[in-house]
Amino acid sequence: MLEIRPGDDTLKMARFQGGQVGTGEGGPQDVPGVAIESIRMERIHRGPDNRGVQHLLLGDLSVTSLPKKAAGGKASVSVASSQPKRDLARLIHNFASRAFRRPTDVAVAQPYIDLAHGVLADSRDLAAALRAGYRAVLCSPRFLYFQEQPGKLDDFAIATRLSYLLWNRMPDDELLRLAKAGKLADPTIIHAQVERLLSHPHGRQFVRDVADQWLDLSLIDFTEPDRKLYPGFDVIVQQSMLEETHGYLQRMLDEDLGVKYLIDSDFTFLNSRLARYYRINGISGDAVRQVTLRPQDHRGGLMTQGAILKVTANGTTTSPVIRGVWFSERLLGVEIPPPPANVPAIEPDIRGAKSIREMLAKHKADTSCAVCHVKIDPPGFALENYDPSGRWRDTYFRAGRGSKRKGPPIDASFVMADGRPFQDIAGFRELVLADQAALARNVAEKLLTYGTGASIRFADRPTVDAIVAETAQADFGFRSLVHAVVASPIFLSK
Amino acid sequence: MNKSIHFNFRRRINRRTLLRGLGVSLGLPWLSAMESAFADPTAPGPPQRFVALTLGLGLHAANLNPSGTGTSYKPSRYLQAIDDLRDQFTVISGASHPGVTGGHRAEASILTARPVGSAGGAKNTISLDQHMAKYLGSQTRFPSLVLGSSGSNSPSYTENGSMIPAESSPAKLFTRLFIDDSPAQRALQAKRVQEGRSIMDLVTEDTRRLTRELGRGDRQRLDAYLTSVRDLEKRMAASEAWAHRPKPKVAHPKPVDIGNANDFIGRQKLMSDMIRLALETDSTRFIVYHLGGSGGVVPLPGVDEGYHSLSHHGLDEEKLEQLAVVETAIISAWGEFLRSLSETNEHGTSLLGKTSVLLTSNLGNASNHSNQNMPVLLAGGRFRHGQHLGFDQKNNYPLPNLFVSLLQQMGLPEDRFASGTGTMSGLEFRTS
Repeated sequence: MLEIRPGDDTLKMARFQGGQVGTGEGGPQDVPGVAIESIRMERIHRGPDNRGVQHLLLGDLSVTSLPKKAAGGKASVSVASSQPKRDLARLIHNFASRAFRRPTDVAVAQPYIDLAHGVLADSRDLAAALRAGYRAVLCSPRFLYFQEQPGKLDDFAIATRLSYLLWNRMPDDELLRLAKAGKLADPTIIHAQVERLLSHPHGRQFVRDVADQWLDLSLIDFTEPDRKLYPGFDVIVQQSMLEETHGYLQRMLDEDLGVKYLIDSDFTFLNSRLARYYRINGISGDAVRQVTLRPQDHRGGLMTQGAILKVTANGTTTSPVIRGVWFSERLLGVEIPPPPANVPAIEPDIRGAKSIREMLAKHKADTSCAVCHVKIDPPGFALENYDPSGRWRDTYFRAGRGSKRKGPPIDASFVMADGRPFQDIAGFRELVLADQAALARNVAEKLLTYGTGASIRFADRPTVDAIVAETAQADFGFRSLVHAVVASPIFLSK
Repeated sequence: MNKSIHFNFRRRINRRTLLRGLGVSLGLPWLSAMESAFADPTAPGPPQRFVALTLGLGLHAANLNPSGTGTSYKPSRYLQAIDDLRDQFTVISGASHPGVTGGHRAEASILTARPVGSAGGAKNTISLDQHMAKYLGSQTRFPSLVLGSSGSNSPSYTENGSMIPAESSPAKLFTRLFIDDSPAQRALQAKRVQEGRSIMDLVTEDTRRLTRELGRGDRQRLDAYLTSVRDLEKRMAASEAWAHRPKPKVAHPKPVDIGNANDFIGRQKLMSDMIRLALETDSTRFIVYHLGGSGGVVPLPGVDEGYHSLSHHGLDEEKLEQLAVVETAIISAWGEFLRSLSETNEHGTSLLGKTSVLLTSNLGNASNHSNQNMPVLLAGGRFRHGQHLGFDQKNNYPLPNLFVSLLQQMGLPEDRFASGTGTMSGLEFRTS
């Protein structure tokens, strides 16, 4: 069997002059290769297939392809109808109802229909008229924006919010049907719909989209860890890291695991490549799967996953300030105000002359700095044992001209804002876990923000408190939190 | 979560952003929507132009800022390469946009000088180039050009805070500037513009109807949308008039785009050539060219690490050395561009004398993502150059004052821009 893994830095790669590589050229370098004679590209549809798309856009009208030459070099079609005006009106009206995600009165659709009729009268080309009408519908604010009126949301607005929260796409037929029947105000039905949407294949999208924004995973390839300082990191590791976090969040969702799993756990999701990168032995296979962790693996919980550690570093250095602010705001729900303008940011220095601890120490002396740094620094220092590429390290290094020497040992100890000391990441995790309601509150707030597009206001606090209280019995389970958020008045009204 | 314009090598706009974002993207290519007119040949004398080159990864201050201030400054490592142009430019250090933070995200504020912040809550608004184009851009076929080295990110913003996507293909730009469409294409284009205008009319009407049904917050959002629709409508009206006019002819052959995205300098030189041609033919007077950061290894001797990674040098000597190679090449290419403008004669004066060229970046220090102490070089135009304006590194001088100076030298009677409250101190107009 032959396996091809493009981009895997740990495999031996042949060196060629470039251009076409001839048969046998890799032989002397003792590298196997594969010749690809031709590749056939096939279109993959995320939605319906060609026939389905045609049906949605053109109904049952008969369609003939025009030769490219007749249409000015572009592929085009001619649409035939015995009643072009009526068909045009019907199709535009249907399309508008879909695009506007709610039943659309003829009165609302009429201007769009009129525009298409105008084009039809001028051009006598039904396809062109449809295109113009559809284009206008897609420029409409009714398509571009959610239509939500202040107060309690109507059923169609609820269907739209639910669908974009869990699927990141338009509501499907079942949601629209329930909305039309006026059933989406019923808590049991909403609960059942959340279950249905999450169990559907599209529901796998939820943790990915949430993590992209909540945990900044969309920035995973923003920097590339320095290859000399952090060898072995490549796109395969990076992709595996994403899959680790996605798999982990999906499991939390599937099994309603409590928010404490955001902070600690005795398992994670690895494949052989990522396990090797983390220096964990005995994992084989390319597919990411659940793996039990031992204490000496130094992993567990979201915050020690490679993807998180990578997006909170710049590829060359780590900063307890950057990671500390990120951790406070994203996982603890503690907002940190921006630094005062006249205080310069810390200048990263990988030459190892002065440790980051020494550089930050003077902040503690200045009371105006200390107010924030007592909150920022504990998580920041707790994570110092993880390098910018997400790997565990015991020491810093001193980089010099072309060399990398062992530097001072890492000291991850610190004290919490309230004075409780910890030695390392393990101790820090224990202290954070003492207040799981705070973790749950943060998750609820992040989900509400994601689901409504509005940030949490002071007046929303009692509602968030109620969500947290409601899920306490389920150990603040992730799925329970999703249900409680969706059922809350913040989500169901504007 | 909030929409924020962020620095991203592969810019992705997902549907959620589009549905909920403050900005609205309309389905028409910006450049064609902006087509306007030729310059009025009866206007007195050659007009003033403005070109801004913006860098995504800053310039290492220790290599850029000269020692000593005033006219007797000693050129820095980077400035040595362009010391022959010394009398034609000014170095400004110790200046930045007040209140602007957010590291890479502040790219959105380079030319607007508005704090947008990392939270993305605050709203951006019109950038300097668009402000100029709004009042002075109607004289040319293109009121402005927004260009980039790769991707569509740009620091150009409309009044209601939508980013104007950049054109990154010199070949496509050349075609738009100089190659006439066939009569059939022109007819098609005119028809498209017409159809677009009726769609805009319809959307305007429908937005008004919808507004009556909505709450106050959403009304403001729709108002912003309506403003952008109206702007687009106006531009389309202007472009309708020019769809049939022939474009200027140049001796320069159509360029071939550089496929290697890492060839930062090659792309900079090629696009700079196009900018010169656009100015020479008076196709536009306001140009922004964004040199966003590239992640890959810039193909230059002595460089073997990615450009973005080098900008996070952590004071490592080897990284700093490689970074200096890349940045010296950027400054040299900028110098070549200035020389080409100064060699282009227009009614007896050099094109550079009629073109203010700004080179700056949101990052004063890419290694710690600081937005203080922005790198600033200003060449050409009506200013008296040849000096280093060194302001306080700790307590920065407000750079928006430079924008006020630039507006005034364009002949716009303005004494404010963003947080700028007057012209830049120490920067005088030439008397001749």
